Amino acid sequence: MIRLSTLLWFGLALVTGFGLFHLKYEVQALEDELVRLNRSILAEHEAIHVLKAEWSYVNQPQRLQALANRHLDLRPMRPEQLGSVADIPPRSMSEESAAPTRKAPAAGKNERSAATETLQIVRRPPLPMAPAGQAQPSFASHPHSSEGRR
Amino acid sequence: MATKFTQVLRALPAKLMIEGTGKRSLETAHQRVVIAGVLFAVCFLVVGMRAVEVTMLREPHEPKLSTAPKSDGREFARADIVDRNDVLLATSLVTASLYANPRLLLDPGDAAAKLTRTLPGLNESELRQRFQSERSFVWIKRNLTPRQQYLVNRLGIPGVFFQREERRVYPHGTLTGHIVGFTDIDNRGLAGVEQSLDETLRGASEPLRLSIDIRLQHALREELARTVEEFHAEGAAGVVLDVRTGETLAMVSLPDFDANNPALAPPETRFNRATLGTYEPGSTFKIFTAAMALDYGTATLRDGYDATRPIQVSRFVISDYKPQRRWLSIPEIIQYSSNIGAVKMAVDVGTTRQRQFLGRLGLLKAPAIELPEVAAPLAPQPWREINTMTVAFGHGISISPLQLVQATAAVVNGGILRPVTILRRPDDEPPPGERVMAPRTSDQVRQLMRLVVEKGTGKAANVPGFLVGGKTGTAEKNQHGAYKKNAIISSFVGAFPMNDPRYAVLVMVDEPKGNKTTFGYATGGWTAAPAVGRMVSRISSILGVEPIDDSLPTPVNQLVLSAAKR
Repeated sequence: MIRLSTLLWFGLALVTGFGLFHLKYEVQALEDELVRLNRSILAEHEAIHVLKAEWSYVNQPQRLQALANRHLDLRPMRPEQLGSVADIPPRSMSEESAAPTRKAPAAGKNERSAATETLQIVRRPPLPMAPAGQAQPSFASHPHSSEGRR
Repeated sequence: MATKFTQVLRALPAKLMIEGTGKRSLETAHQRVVIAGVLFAVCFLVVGMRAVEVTMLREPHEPKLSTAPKSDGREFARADIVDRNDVLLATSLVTASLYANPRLLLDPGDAAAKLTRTLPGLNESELRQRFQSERSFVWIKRNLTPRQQYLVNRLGIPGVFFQREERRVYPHGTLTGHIVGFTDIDNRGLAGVEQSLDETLRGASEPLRLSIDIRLQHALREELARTVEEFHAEGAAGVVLDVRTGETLAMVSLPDFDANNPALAPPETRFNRATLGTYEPGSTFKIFTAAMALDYGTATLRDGYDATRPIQVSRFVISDYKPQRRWLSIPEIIQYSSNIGAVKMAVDVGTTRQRQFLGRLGLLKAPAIELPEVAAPLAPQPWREINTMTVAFGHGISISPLQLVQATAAVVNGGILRPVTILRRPDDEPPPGERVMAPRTSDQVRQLMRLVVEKGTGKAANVPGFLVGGKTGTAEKNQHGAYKKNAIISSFVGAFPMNDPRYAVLVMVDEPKGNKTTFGYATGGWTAAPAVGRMVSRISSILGVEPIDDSLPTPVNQLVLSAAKR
């Protein structure tokens, strides 16, 4: 009887001891993991910091401007290129004036510029900065607009 | 043990009585056992409760281990500086600095030789001398590049160590040099915002946000540089101000310097002309003379003065640059920039009231901008009637360009002086301000300023659709009390759109020389006004100002026309 309970207690102590031992190592491993993670977070923070500085550096306006001048066809926006929603002609009118271009895709240059001219006049009063004949600041005549591509 | 003892007691026959000392000692023992038992029970209860509290009731947070590096909180001792759109203007980067502990150096001579070969800018004999000292800490080189750090590590000299340090870097270097400033090697602010807000930057973890917009700053710098080049000027200054809040959106002074390398910059490039330079403003001051006369009611837009003959005061003669030799209305005086007319306007207002009015516009004291490089104006002392006359057309008084644009903003924004600032104002609180003139006066002066650009000396500043208004100014350069021959300061201060001003723009050119395209002229209308015009057309789309069709008769235009008719 005594031997049985002693055995039981001994076994329990052994199990507890082993459990404790195991737990301790597990916690230690987790702590090491935590330290490692915190270190790498710190390293990432510093890297982000450096990248932010670099991002700001490569986004210097003078550099962007030089790149844009070299690689893009974009030019600074001129005031007369801006319009408000109120300037847009009523729907029916724009359809009428745009109709000839749509029906005859192979229409001559004169005809199309006449159509855009009408659009121009409807859109805005005569423009002081862009005399007729020069590049029209109209979306319709822009080579990249859908009208031009067709 | 206690139970055993009671068992023994119970086992005794009830009739058996122990008398005398034996009984007493047994009772004492019983009492002691009970007391001890209660004490133990209390102790175990406390331990048990504590165990329950710790394991079950406490919040599940563990105290941080001292060995774990913290990943939260601030890693840098100095806060970043950003522009109004959060573009980084100044930040701290981690670098390694190299130091030695001479006591641990095995061979100082060899170490000095190796290090001098690896790192540029070191003096071998001096280094050896320092290595032989008795100190335990000697700087070798601060702020190494990662590559240099690698090379030094590869040398493997014992007794040489790295120290983690921070170094301020300015990604936009030259563009914001005068505003952001720079620090010394120990990160103490030496100029600009770095100096004036040194304490704030040290304590803060949040970046400091300036009112500057880097895109406008770039546009302004480029237009000024173009003007300087075109007219072979000594330098230039420019400011863009939000007239509704007093925020400085852009401020440039040329020549400028790279904040990353301030030591290499010549001293004159570190001089901020926009805030630290004071100049005689010249005719731009007539804006304030007109505002003063209109606000005090000594003249109305329908009145005028005789400008036929120059004014003779003691030994001075005040004449016009382009004399009209006739009676001029107030709008015409501003349009043709008549000195004679301006003098007569100011004389009618009087010396005391002129001084009061200019004081309210902040023209007689240093502006309250958060920069260390701020100059106080030079005002006449004492202020006699002759001073009243010269100040009327902007001579005999020296102010900084920043003051000029601050006062102009107050004139056009409806008459409220908003103290100029370099810091972003919070959106949710109204900016501070003080009314300095009636709203009606502001309306009228705006018409006059629009007239100057539409029909007068400032035509070059006109941008169709944006109703630019302003005033040109040309002043002879005053150096050490004497006017310098053929050296002028040309300026243009304006605002747009004039029907509801949002932004004030100032361009000042130092010693421009006329060229063929300007027919030899170097006045404000020929040099500074075109730069302002280019600025307005360039920045209006960035600022989101909608162009209006100025061929239509808007209220402002109508009033300008009616004012010009006379």
